[in-house]
Amino acid sequence: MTPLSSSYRAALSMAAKDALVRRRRPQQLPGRTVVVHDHEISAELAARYARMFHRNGPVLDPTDLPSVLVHVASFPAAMELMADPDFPLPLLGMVHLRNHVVHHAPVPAGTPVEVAASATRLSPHPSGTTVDLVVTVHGPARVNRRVDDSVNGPTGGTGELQLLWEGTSTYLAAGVHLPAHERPATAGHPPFTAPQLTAQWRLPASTGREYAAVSGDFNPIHLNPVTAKLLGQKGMIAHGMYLAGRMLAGREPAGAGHEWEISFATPVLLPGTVSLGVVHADHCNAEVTTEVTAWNGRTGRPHFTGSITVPGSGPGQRSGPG
Amino acid sequence: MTEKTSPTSANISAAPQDSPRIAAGQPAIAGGEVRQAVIIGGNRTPFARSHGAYAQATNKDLLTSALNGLIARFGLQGERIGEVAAGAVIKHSKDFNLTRESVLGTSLDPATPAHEVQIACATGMEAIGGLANKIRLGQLDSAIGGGVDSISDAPIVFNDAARAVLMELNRARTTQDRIKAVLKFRPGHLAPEAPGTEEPRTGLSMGEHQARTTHQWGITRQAQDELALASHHHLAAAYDRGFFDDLVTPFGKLTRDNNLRADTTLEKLGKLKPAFGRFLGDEATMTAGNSTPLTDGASTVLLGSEEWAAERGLPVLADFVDFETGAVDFVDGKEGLLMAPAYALSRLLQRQGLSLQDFDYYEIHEAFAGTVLSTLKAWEDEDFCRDQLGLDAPLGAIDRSKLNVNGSSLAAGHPFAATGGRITATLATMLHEKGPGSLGLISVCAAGGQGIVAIVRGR
Amino acid sequence: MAKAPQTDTYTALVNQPLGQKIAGALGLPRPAVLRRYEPGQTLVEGSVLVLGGGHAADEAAAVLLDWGLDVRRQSAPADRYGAVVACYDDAGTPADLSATTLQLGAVQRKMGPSARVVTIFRDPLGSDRPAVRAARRGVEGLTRSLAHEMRRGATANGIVLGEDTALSAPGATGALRFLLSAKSAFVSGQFIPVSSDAGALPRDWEKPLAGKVAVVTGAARGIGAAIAATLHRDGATIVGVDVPAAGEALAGVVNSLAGTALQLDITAADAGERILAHCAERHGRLDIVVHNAGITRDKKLANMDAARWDSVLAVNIESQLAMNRVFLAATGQGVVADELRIASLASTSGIAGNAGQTNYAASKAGVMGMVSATAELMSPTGTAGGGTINAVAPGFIETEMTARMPMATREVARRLNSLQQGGRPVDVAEAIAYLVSDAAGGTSGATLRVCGQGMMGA
Repeated sequence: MTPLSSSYRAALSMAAKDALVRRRRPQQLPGRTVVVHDHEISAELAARYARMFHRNGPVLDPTDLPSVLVHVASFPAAMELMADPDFPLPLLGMVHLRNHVVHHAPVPAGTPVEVAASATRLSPHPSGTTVDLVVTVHGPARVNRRVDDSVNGPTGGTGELQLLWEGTSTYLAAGVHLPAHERPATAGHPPFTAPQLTAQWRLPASTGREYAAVSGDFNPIHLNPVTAKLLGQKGMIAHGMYLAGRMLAGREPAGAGHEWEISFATPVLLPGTVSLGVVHADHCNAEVTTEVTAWNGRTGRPHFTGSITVPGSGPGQRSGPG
Repeated sequence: MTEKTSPTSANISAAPQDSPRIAAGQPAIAGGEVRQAVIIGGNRTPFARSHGAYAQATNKDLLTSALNGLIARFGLQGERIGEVAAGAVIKHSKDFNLTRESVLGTSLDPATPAHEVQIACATGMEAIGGLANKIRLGQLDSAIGGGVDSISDAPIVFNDAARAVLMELNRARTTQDRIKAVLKFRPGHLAPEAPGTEEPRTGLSMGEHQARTTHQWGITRQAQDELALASHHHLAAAYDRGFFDDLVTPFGKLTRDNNLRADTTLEKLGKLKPAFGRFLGDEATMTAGNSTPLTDGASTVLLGSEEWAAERGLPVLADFVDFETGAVDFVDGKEGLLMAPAYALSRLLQRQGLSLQDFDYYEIHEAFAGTVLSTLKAWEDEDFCRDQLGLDAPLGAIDRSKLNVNGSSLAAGHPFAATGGRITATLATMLHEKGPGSLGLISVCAAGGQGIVAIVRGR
Repeated sequence: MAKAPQTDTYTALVNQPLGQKIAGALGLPRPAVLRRYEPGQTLVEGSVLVLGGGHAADEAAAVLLDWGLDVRRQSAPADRYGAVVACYDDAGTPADLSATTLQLGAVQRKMGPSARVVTIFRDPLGSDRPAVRAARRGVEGLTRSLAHEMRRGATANGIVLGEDTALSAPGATGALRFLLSAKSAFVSGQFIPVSSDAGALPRDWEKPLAGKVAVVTGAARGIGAAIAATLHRDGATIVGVDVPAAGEALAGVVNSLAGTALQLDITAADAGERILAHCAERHGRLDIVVHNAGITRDKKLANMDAARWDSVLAVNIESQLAMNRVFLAATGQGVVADELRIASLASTSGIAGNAGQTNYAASKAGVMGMVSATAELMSPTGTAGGGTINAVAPGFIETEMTARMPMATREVARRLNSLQQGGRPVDVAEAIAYLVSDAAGGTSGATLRVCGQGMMGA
């Protein structure tokens, strides 16, 4: 898989070229799907990822990797699409709006998986155009090892592949309005009311650089306040997926089967302190949804909202007190 | 100096014949009866606001001093105590054997074993309770439990990034590797990390957590300030009538807790600005006046079997009856961080067949005035007692004139691990004055959503 | 343990060869380094000459021989004496003093450093006959003057026997041993009255207080800490008492002596009861009480306020009176020993007076008054019979308190006594340890000065 840094480099040079030759980008999404076979998420990467959240997260289980790590390891496939000259939206300046992941089954480290990435839903947005990048991860079907190992023999090999993980990342190309699309009216933001404070994250200035070192996402807006400002940010900002990873740390059920999403409102400036409110909502004992809201305690402006839904019968993280 | 005898093979092998315990009957651990663990007395240093009077003192200095005072009070020089257990919530890694090192600095027999205990602010209670159980089982005849904390002696550590480089440097075998490692240093690595009182899982300080609980239980600023005022006045009065003559030994220049403000008033307390729960805006009620400051100090409690105390002509103040540890799910705000004692108490009362009103004295650790008042309100609350404690009826109200009658942490201060020892020795003395059979309840909340409650019976 | 008092640099200096020469040339005082007691030490270094022709001389010779000393009844030219015991118990008129006194003078130059002269005579008030009383008072006078003439750390003191008291009485023998020993290093020109046969000699002179429980007030530092250490050395179990504010130092003292600490303000109404309860519970008995705790609040009387006056009187004397009432009432009821020994700290200020110390002197003179009256209560015929009570009046003692005096004042105060130096806390402690021992059982109601024969109040 192409590393993210080379995708950025390619995108940069293409942006320069485009500006030079005033090339017009295509209006449609590429129909192709980027497929990477036998992709392995290394145990070493998993360990480095786990270290970032070691104060909050669970002990790393190399047979059941965290969702955001799977995203980190598979998203370069989507990047390949986005960095392609045929992609209708310019990669640079794209804003990450939302992520939605269904984590069907555990994704193991050190085991070949198949990663597929495609782009869908090119849609108009009051501020530009959005696109969904869908990445799926398939792996060897995992039967219940504890019971059937000796009967069925080792799994994997040429056996059937099962969908383990699928993630949809929604990006906005701000200021890019495709002619085919009607520009929707600007929807007024509903007034934000912070829920009850249950936690606080103090994010040091190094947060972006640390996450970049693990994820390979060396977008300059995360690394250095000067480069961030040059690229139009108010300052160095946290990676959206770092925030997602931190939100999920310690909240993902063992054995997967959960679903989560995160929607970004305003960026988190680094260094900075994020206020959080976590609310648990039970749905008839079937599943439990945890809703997370993050905001700036000083300005009162929201940073993101997220939710995690885990199957109720699964091995829950905690049971009630008493 | 007292001559110290070190065990020789001769007196080890002679021990069984000499031991009165064996002669008197089987210890519970070997099939005999469970016996009482008695509280003989206590000693603590005066408590000092951090970075003040004890700025130059280490945890070891403080704990050693508290032990020395105890040894002097009870004539324990050269005595082999069964076990000494204490701990510090915040201590340097070099102090891994803090308690043992402190014991070696005293005139106790060097053959006195010691170990570390740590359950945040309830450290002292856990140390004392665990030792009491060993005495009841007949594993120990005597013990000293306690704790110490000094924010002034807190370890400053390198941040994770710097630590990674340093460890790499340490592992480097060749000069080239070493240079490579050294080149990885960045100016940011030099920013040290001081230990905080933040909960690792929420990033919120204890005060912020309590601010939410206080608000949820609708505890008013007035009620909190009144509790703080009572704490200062009670503690000052106790000092003035010599109550602490047999409980505190001065350390350095301090003869009393220097957080004590005997002359404070509701007006003075009322003028303070909220220090915690600023997210509550106008509804924030917790100030520096009704919250405990960071404090340095140490405390110790001498425990023993009745026979051990009698053989040495030592007083018996009280029995350490029972204790219970609780924990709550505070991480996403399901329960208040400091509410665990409210849960533990229900189990303890049930086990001992007691009601909340059966006690002559209540010692509820004043981490914050709001903690005490929220806990009391929860026990009175029908919904809480039904839904959270699974009780048919609320535990009910207590007679407030029996609460913290000689002051508590708001006035004395709160060196985390030392608070349990302070409370246990204070309560045992009060119960002894009250008379045989009088009952006292201890409740100490702790970081991590934990807490310990205990029952002490006067002798 | 008591903090080491500051060094008397001058004394150290003039005991160096060069310093000695300079001081000699300039006519400066040349204080000697006093021989002080150490366990296992020889009682007297050199021979002991016993002078006099009465019973006392024979008794003295017998007891000294019993102690293994090299006893002489006649001086010989080659002898070097560590002590001379001059017995005047048979003096009936001043003319009778002549023979013994002149023999004493003849051997004075043969006495070694820190030698002892002990005169033995009977109580002047014990006789109505003018010639007898004159002779006995005459011994007092010659002893005091001789004390002034003693050099190189040597001292002269007397034992005043009651009319029917023999030198072989335990109290008299005990006094003789104390005065001969290095324990009386800073006692000179003083008299120990022995008026009864009460008391007992210890089985072991190294542990005269074995098995006793002793309360020492003000034990946290200075003289009190030295007293506690000395009583512990002599075999007593120590209950150290001091105000709660001195608790840390008290714990240090007590822990080094394997005793128990009691933090207590002795002016508290229940101080006596609390001490008694502590001793009863922890040790089952109380044999010795040393009232050492005291304070100074110096001001000329014109500037004296009520707080200064009242606090000094309350701590230094009223508290002792109140505690003694409790102890005496409990005598013979199981905890307090039938032969309770009380020692109280007086001061030479209480004898001679001292500008700026009207309050202190009143309290310390009060102590001496209390001691003499309480002695009657404690006498075999009194209401709380059996025990003894005495006072020790220290002169200039090198303590933390005197270390704070201005240098010139301190230097003068130090030299204003026959030994030309300040005493040490242990010198006071030795006197106390002697007075609370059964070997001093024949002495009660007395005040013994430990002052190197200070000029003040002489």
